[in-house]
Amino acid sequence: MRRCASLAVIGLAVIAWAGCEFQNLTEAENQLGRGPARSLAFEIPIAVDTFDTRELFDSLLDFRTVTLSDSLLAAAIDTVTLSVSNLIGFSISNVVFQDTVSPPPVWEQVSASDFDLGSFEDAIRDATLNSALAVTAVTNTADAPITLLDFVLGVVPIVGGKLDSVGGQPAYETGPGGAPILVAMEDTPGGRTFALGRMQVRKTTTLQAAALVDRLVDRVLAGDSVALVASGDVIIGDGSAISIAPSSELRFEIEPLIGFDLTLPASGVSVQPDSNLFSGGLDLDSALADDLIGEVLDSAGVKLIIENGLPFAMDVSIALVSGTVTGNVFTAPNAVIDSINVGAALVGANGRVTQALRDTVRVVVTANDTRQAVATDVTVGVRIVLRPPPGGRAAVESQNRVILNVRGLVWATIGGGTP
Amino acid sequence: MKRAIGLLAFLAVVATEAAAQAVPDNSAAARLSSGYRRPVQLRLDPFRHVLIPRWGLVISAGGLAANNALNGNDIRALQFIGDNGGLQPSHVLSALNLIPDGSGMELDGAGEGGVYLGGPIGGHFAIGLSGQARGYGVGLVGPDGVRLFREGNLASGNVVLDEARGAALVTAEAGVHALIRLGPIGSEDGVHMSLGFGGRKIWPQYYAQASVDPGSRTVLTPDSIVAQIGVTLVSSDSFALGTSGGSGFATDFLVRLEWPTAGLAFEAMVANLGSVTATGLTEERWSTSVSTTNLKDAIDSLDVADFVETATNVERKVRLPRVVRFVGSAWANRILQIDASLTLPARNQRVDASSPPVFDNGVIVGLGTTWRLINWFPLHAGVEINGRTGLGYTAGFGIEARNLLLRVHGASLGGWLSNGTGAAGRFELGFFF
Repeated sequence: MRRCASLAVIGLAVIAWAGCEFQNLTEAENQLGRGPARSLAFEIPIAVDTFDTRELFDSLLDFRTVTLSDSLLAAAIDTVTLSVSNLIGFSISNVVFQDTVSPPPVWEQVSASDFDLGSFEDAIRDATLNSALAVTAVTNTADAPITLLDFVLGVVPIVGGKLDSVGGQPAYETGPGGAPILVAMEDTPGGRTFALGRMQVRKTTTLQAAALVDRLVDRVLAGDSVALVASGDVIIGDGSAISIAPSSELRFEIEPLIGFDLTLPASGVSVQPDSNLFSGGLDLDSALADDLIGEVLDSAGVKLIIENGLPFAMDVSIALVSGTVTGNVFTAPNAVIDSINVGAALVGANGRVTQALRDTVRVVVTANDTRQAVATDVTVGVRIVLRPPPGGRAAVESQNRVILNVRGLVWATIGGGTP
Repeated sequence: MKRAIGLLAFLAVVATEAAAQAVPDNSAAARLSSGYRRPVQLRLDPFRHVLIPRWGLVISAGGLAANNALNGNDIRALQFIGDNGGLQPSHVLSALNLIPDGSGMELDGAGEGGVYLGGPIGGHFAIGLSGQARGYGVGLVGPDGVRLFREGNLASGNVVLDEARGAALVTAEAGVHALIRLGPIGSEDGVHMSLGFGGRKIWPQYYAQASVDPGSRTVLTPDSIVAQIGVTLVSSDSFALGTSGGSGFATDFLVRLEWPTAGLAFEAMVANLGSVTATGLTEERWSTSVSTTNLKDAIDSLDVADFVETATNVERKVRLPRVVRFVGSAWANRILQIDASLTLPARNQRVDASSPPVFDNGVIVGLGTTWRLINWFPLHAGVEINGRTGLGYTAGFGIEARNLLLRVHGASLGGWLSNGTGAAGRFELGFFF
C-alpha cells in the first residue's frame, strides 16, 4: 500500500511538474509578466546634426544662395541683361574720334518667374530689405574706350508695352520723399563715371542697391509690370584712333542679390517648403510594432535640443501622417500635428547674431500616435513661422548655424501581471 | 574565513543530532549496511558506489539544470509563445524582468551517465572502476548586463559587460577509486573510519567557451552611444568521440567517520580536483567599437561585425568545478535518518591570472530525511538551499536488496515543481553478486 502510495505521489509530482498547459497566448503572457511592475525610461541619442545657414536655406528654398563680402547670406535671382549696340549710329575704322552720346534708356521687363523665391517669397515680400546688391557686369565689344557718365539703374513701370515716362524721361520709381530710387554706376562714390578700356570684355562692379531691389521685388511680387532700366550718357573714344562696328555692343548683366538682412513684421512670416520633409518608413514589421507599442510602450517622444544660431525665433509645426502623401500633410486626414517654439539667438543693433540660444523642446505622443509613426510608410511635413528678434531686424550670416540634437524618449512598463 | 564560519555553523546544527539515542539492535538502522547510509547526492559523487559492501555492476545516470530566474511555468510559457506566433521583444523583456534584483542571469547544468564495477576486497579495502560520460555547463550574464533592460538609461547608461560568459564541457572518464576501512577504533562502539581516494582520467569530447573581453562595455546615455565589445568564442568543431580532443586528470578524496551504534556519521569529501586540456579548438572573435551620437551609425556598426576565425588548433586548459562537501548523518529514531550537507562554493576558478573563470558552483546546504519503514525500501524527502536558485525540494526512493539496487531521486530547485527554477534527477540500477 505504502509502495503504491509512494509511487502515486511521485507520479503526481512528475505530472504536476510537467505542468499546466496554457490555453491561449494571454495566459502564457500573463505567466511571463508575473515579475514586479517596473517603469523603464530611456533617453536615446538619435542624431546630432549641424546645419549651417546655407545648407538650411538650400533645403528650404529653391534659389541659389551666396555669401557677400561682409558674410551676409544673400539670395541670387536671375540675371537681367540690358544691351545697346551701334552707339554712334554708324561704323568707323581706325579713326580718331571722341564724342559724348546719349543713347535711349535700355530696359528689360522683370517678371515673377525671375524672382522664384519659392517658400521664402512671402517672407521677402513682407519684410523690408536692409541689404541688397546689384552685381553688374559691363561688357564693351567696341575697339574704343568707353566711359559711362551719370549712368544710373532704376525701376520704371511698363505701360502699354513701353516705359512709362515723364517729360521724355523714364518715370523712375520714387522713395518716400519723392526722390527717384536710382543707383549710380561709378568707379568711385560720387565720381559720376564708369570707364571701360578698349575691348575690355567684362568689368564688374557691385552696387549697393537695397532700396532699388526692394522696390523691384515688391512690385514684381505684387504682379505689376516693371522693368529694370539703365540710362545715362556715354563718352566714346579718348582722342585716339578707334574702330566701332554696327555690331559693337555695350552690354549690362545685372544680378540682383537679396541680402538676408530683413526687418520682419511682428507677426512673423510663414515658410513652408513646397515638398514634404520626409516620406518613407521605419519599415518596422507590423507584428513587432504592435508588440512593442501595444504591450510595452506607454508613450514616446522626441526631445530636441536646439542651439539656434539664427536671428529668428521659430514656430515649427510638424505634421505626420501614415502612408505616402504628396499634397499638404497638414490637411491630410488623421494627421498628427504638434508644434514647438524656439527662441531667437541674441542679436545686436545691426540684426546680426551675437550669441546663439540653446533651447530644449519636447514633443510627446501617446502610444497610439507612435503606432502611426512607426508604420511602414509615413510622411512628415513641416511649417515654420519666422518671428523677428527684439527690434525686428534680422541679418543672417553664412556662418550662422543651427545645431539640432535629437533624442528619442521612451517610457515603458513591464511586469506587474498575474499568472 | 567565511568557509570556516559556515563549517562551524554546520557542525553546530548537526551536533544537536549527535545527542540522538544509540541505535537499537532490532531497528532498521542497526541492520543497515554502512554502504547504504550515505545520502544520495544529485551532484558529483565519485564514491557513491565504492562504499557498497558487495561486488556489483551499477548503471547510473543523472542530470541537473537550473537558473535563477525562470521557473518551469515560465519556460513552458516561452515555448507556447514561440510555437504560437513567435517571441517578441516584450516577451524577452518580461523574461528579463524575472531575474532577481541585483543579480544577473545565471544558468547551471550538469549531467553524467556511466557504469561502475567494484566491490570489497577483504574487510578493510574496496575498489571500484568506473566509466562515465559527464557534462558541465554554465552561463552567466552579470547584473549590469540586464540592468539597462529593467531600469532604462536615465540613472546610469554605463553597462559593464565583461562579467558575461558561457561554457560547456563534455568528457569521457575512466576512474579508479579505492576505500580503506578502519575500525572500530578504540572500542567495539568506537569510530569506523573510511578513507577514500581515487582518480579519473578525463578526455574532453566537446568544449565551448564564450567570454566577453575584459573592459567591454556599452554606454547608452542621452548624449552618446558607445560600445566597446569583444567576444571570444573557443570551441571544438565537433564531438571528438575518443581521446583525440585532449586529456586531463581529476583526483578525489573522502574521509568518513561513523559511529554505528550511536547512529552518527560525518563525512568530508574533496572531489574533482584537477583540470583538463582541450585541444584542436577553433577560436573566433567578434568585436565592435563605436562611439557616436547617431543611433543609425550605432545600429549599422552591428550589421558589419561578424565572427572572424582568429586561430585554429587552439588549446584551452580548464579547471574542473571543485566539489568540497561536508555531510553529517544521525538516526533520529529507529526508522528515520536525518542528513545535513554543506557544499562549499568554488567561484571564479581560473587556470591562471590571464584566463577567464569558467565553471563554478555556489554554496548548497541540504537537509534530508530518509525513512526506512521497510529496511530495504528507503524513502527520501528533503530540502536544499542553493546560493544560485534558492530553496528547493528533494525526494526519492530506493530498493536496496541483496542483489539489486534501484535508486530514483529527483529535486525541484528554486521552488516547488512547476514553480521551481531548476530540476535534477538521478537513476541508478545495480546488480550485486
